[in-house]
Amino acid sequence: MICAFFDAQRKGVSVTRPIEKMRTTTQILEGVASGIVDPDEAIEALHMNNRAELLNALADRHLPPPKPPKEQVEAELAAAMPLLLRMEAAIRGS
Amino acid sequence: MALEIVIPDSGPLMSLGRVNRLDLLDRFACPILITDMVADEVLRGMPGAPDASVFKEWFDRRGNQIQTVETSIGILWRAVPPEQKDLLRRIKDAGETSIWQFANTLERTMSPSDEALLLFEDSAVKKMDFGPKVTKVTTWSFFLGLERMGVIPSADGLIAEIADQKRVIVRDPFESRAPESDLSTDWTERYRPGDS
Repeated sequence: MICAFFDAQRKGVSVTRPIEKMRTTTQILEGVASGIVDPDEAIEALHMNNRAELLNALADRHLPPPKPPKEQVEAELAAAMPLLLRMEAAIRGS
Repeated sequence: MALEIVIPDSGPLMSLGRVNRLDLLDRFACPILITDMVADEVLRGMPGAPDASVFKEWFDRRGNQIQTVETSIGILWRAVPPEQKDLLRRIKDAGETSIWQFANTLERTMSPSDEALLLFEDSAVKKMDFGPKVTKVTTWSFFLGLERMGVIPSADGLIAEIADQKRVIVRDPFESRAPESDLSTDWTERYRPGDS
């Protein structure tokens, strides 16, 4: 579902953001912790002033700090993978 | 797990009573149980509490949906002679303690699939253990949920109205699910946004 959301966003298709269907603060904060909800959207929805308040609210519920967006993780992985593969090949060859 | 009971602490009752919005609690599709100690606090008139008549009228109007439950601290309170009530009044968090006692009863008597919702404002409640069947929600978190359901136009607006009546609510978006709660459900499923 998350991938479909980001794919649609990339293609410029109008999509419902996950946060729009969330009604409780629990849903929103758990969404932030799991990377489904953008932290800035959560700050706006919860009427917070800054990231510090968001981090405090997460910590108050023993939730981890927000994960980076899946897109960013995928891009970083894609960039790092050739290097990792070359390292593995070098180790095997030595 | 389904929400079967709402238990408001005195803080949310006083805040909603101050702006005559106790109707926001009426929309829960389940009974509202108020412990005897909390009922006493709102009816007796704590410092900053709205006129007790607001609550008497609300209790009368909602009939069976709102019930007062006895707790041992409440029974003790009623047994103490009036001239000694000051002593008991100094017991910290008497209302919350009565809810805690009631929650212990709930733990033994509720069916495995049921849970209760505790509405509160006092930050001490966040760290109190009310057992496996009680979900805790602050007044601010409740207001945010109502805003997102379209029940109220603005949580900020409602808080400002309450502030105009000389009552300050901390903007704490805290909620904690009942430990035995079904993760797929939440309190909004037992709330009727377009009803009263």
